[in-house]
Amino acid sequence: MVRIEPDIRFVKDLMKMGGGDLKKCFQCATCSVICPQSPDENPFPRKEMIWAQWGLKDKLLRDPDIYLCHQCNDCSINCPRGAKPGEVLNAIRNYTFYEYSTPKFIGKLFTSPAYFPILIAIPIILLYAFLQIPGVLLSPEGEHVVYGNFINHLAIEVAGMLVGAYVIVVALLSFYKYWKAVGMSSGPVFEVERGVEGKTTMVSGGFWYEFWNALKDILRHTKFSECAENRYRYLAHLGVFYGFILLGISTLGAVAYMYLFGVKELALPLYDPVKILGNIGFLLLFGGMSWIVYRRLSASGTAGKPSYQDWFFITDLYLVAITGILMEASRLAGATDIAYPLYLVHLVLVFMLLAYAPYSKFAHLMYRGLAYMWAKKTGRLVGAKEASE
Amino acid sequence: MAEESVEKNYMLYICTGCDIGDSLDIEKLKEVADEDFSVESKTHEFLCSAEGVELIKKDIEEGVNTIIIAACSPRVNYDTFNFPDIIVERVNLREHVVWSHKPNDEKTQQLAEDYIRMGIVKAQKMELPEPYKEEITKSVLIIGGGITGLTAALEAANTGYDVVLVEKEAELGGWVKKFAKLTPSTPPFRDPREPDVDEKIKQVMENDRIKVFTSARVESISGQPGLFDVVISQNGTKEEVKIGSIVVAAGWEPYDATKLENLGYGKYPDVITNVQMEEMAADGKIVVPSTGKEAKKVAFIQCAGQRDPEHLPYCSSICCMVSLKQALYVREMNDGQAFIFYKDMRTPGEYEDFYKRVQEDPGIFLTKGEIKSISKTENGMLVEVTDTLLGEDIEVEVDLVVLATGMVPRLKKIAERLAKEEEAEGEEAKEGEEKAEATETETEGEAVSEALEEIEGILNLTYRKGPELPELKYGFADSNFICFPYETQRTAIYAAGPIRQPMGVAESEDDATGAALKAVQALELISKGAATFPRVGDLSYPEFFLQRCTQCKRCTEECPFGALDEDEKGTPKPNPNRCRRCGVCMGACPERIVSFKNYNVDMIGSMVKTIYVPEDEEEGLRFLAFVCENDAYPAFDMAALNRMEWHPDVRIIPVRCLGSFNVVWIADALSRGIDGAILIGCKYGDDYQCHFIKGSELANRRMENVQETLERLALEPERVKVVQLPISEFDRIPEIINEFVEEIEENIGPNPYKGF
Ligand code: SF4
Ligand code: SF4
Ligand code: SF4
Ligand code: SF4
Repeated sequence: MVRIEPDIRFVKDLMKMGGGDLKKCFQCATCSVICPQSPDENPFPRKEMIWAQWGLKDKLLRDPDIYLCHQCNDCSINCPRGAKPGEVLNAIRNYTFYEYSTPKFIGKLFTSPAYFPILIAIPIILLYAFLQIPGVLLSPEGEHVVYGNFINHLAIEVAGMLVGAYVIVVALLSFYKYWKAVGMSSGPVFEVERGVEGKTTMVSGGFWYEFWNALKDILRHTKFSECAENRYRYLAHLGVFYGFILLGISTLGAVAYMYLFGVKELALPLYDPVKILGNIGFLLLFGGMSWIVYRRLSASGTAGKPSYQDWFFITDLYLVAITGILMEASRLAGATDIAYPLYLVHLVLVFMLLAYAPYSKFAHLMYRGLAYMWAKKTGRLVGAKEASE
Repeated sequence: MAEESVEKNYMLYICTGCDIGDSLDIEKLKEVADEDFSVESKTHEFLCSAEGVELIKKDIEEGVNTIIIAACSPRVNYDTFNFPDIIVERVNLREHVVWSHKPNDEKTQQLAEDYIRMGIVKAQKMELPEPYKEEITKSVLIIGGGITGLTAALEAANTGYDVVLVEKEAELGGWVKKFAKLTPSTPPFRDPREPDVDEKIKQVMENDRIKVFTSARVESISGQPGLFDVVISQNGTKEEVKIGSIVVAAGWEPYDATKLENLGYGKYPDVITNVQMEEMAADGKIVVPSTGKEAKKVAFIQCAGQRDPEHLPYCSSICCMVSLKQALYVREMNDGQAFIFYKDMRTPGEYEDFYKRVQEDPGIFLTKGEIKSISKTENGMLVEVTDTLLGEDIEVEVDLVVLATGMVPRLKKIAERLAKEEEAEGEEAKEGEEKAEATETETEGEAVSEALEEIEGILNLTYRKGPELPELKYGFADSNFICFPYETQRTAIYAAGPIRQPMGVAESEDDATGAALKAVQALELISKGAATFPRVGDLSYPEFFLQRCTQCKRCTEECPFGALDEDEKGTPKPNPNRCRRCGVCMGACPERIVSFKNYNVDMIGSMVKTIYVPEDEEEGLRFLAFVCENDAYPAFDMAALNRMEWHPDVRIIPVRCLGSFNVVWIADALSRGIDGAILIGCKYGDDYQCHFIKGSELANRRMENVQETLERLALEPERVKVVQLPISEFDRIPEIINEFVEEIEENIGPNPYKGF
């Protein structure tokens, strides 16, 4: 017997964070049957729906299943009550960003649009303070736009590294909290036959083995491709995912140019391989993203309504991209009066993307990855192929 | 039988439309009428047309008073071929001959000829019924002043009839008066509504046509519909009123929760029933009984006894809605939390919207589950639930537990008392031999019966067949609920509301309206001497030739409607207004002294005798099908309409009810060389479909006598068979008939009495 103490606040929070229809569920289990991602045993998302209705916060936040969901929304489309289980799971995921955030008071700022002004204020204040540091803000001259002449590159890089370090520390702490919590989940450990002639029963392949397994799946988007109703998302997400990776590589390339080859101002010509990579990444990211936004707006009934957290992430990403392009354009056009202020705006937005990553939608990358590994480790999730191997 | 007052002037009309003329030799049919019966005949190619009807009317003007119409089924065009004060017999050539048999075939022709003969004989043996008419009182008695009774009273009064309303409590309004709110009954079905019973009470009190007796009960009801003598006692005084028809709206009581000890009732003060919860809510405060503090967390246990063979085996249909409503009380009045544990949530039809609305509330938690235990803790009550949808066994600590108990019809305990009394009577008879036995259990039994003895009756009829409405199951008034919801086994007495089926307020109001109109309709029919449901408008009624009665009491026993009382000697005393004209008494009577002007033993016997039975078996065997008019006969029509074919050697004889089947017809038939008879009637048993409740069952029971007859004639038992046929299974007809025929043809052989 488990003592149940419903947490009404939690129910209401989930409803506000994108699970507005969760109370409509009447437990028919259509969703669990239809979900292409759910394992047959102890399937989701029906059980998550009643936990959510009953405000069973602990259970839900430790439930790795919420991350096995890829929000295909097959369930929401077929739910006879319009309870939108796909969106409810998304809301729960949003809640985990908060729950495991470090420090938690910052995570809190992402739970409601009411705190949005603070989220904007932080980078502006920091930037202002940063610019007060002597030698950071330079006075550019001439009609050519050279961003390095406006703000000291080195300073930016140092600041960027500091932010990066913060992000890494914070993310690792959150990682750890989550991994521990999921480890405490009461979910059963599944025994899976894997190995010689179906004889060996083994549960875990060890951390790194499963890490590798999970990584393979993530890189291939294997699970994503199983969604039925919203198959476009597989491709779109693949675009966003590899877009990021390419952009990451091109950034590394740029850094290498600067430090290994001593290039002063990064104004690479369009044919430069690093530039090409960056542009392809940009197109993939931008394209995939737009596709998702378009579908969600035009067919929110089937594709699922985005939550505030989704919007925050998406909008920021867009703005970073747009300001980036405009910066490039104004540089080429030599519009100094536009370029430099734009640069400031861009820095604020980039900060928001990076520094907020562990708290925002971006965080799903790590939580999902962990949940994924957990599921693999416990045998909850075994690729069909793998099981038959 | 009865003396022929007017000389009969016959005419046979044969319609040649609807494939009849093309499939049969009409001239030969006319010859049969002429040669065998000297009955003149006319044909028309479209008899149901204005012109055809005109043809008949002209003949009637010229003195024809007995007509045989050989055309379509009597179940169609009955209004077209409706000639008042004329004997009309319909021969079903269309459905039962040409649509269901090979056209222009020797056997089909023989079939048609037999039906013509049978029709003419039937007309010969038939008299115009003279209705039983007496000056009646057109007033309606309503028993019960709850929402159902009040509604019925208003409905009957508003159609212009006098109403007498009897309520046992000092105040009108029944349960609804005690409720805080009612579950929604109109779109959008979102919010509980205010009980509007005060308005109804006011209307009733102000209505000049309605006479109200409160703190009163019905002492006795004697007589018959239209002429009931009802004694009402009120505060020790008795008043006798004349009543025409009755609506019983005596309602329900909550299931005795003390029997639910497993759920903690009686053991813990903080376990209450939904009725107690409602009363608290009506008083404006939901508190924990043991502490008097506001109840913040409340658990509702659904199906508290319902759907459990140990307690109430049925779904009470409203308690899910009630708990949903009461969960809202907890939310709105106490800002608390409500837990609902159910077996299944049953919110039929649009009530689902209310379920949805309650679900939306973040402070209401629902799950399916089995209650494992309810116990007391330091801070409240602990409810342990297994098999939940949460995927594990859970326990919840609450302040208050509400058991959603079910409805028990008020008839239930009365029925138990009556059964006990009957048993006791039976035992008295046997007493002496077994007296030494079981002294211990006896005292126990007595204690039970003492409690039961105090249960007062509702109707207290002085009928021979008992004082109350017969129950079907679980104490609900029997009402052949499939098709005829308010009907009961007592003519002109209708049941409405939870006395006949568990139901909520809105349904009870609908029910009351229906039953009130039924009661009013009964008055009108009875005043014309006509039967009520199901032979609505039938003017015939059974007549008893009592000089030959042997007081065997079979008719009084078997009459499903308690129409026959008895004198001290056991001679039946008919009450025609209580009678539904089923003919069961006619089937029961071994002396064959019961007859209707237009339906009697001799008539059917003569029809059987007029059938041509070929001596040479090569010409084919002959079979009879006695077919119930209510469902089986139309089933044959439907089969024919679907152009299904059945064996042409079978002659269909419609009967009012299989219960009116008299065994003598079998003797008549078999001694003439007919090879077998099949009786087709409605389904019987708990979910019977018989329009006269027990008719088909009785016929089946009488098969014993039939077997005796067969034995006496040294014939095989397989020659007679009873079949139950729900009307929806008309497609089985060819199979049923053909198998029966083939079985006899192949395995039994022809009747040795042929040609005697
Ligand atoms: S979320 Fe919808 S589909 Fe799933 S159990 Fe609930 S009502 Fe059924
Ligand atoms: S959104 Fe898709 S993956 Fe998630 S639970 Fe629903 S069907 Fe399964
Ligand atoms: S209405 Fe609901 S609580 Fe009542 S008996 Fe039926 S299922 Fe049980
Ligand atoms: S016809 Fe039927 S109802 Fe009437 S007295 Fe006979 S058995 Fe009773």
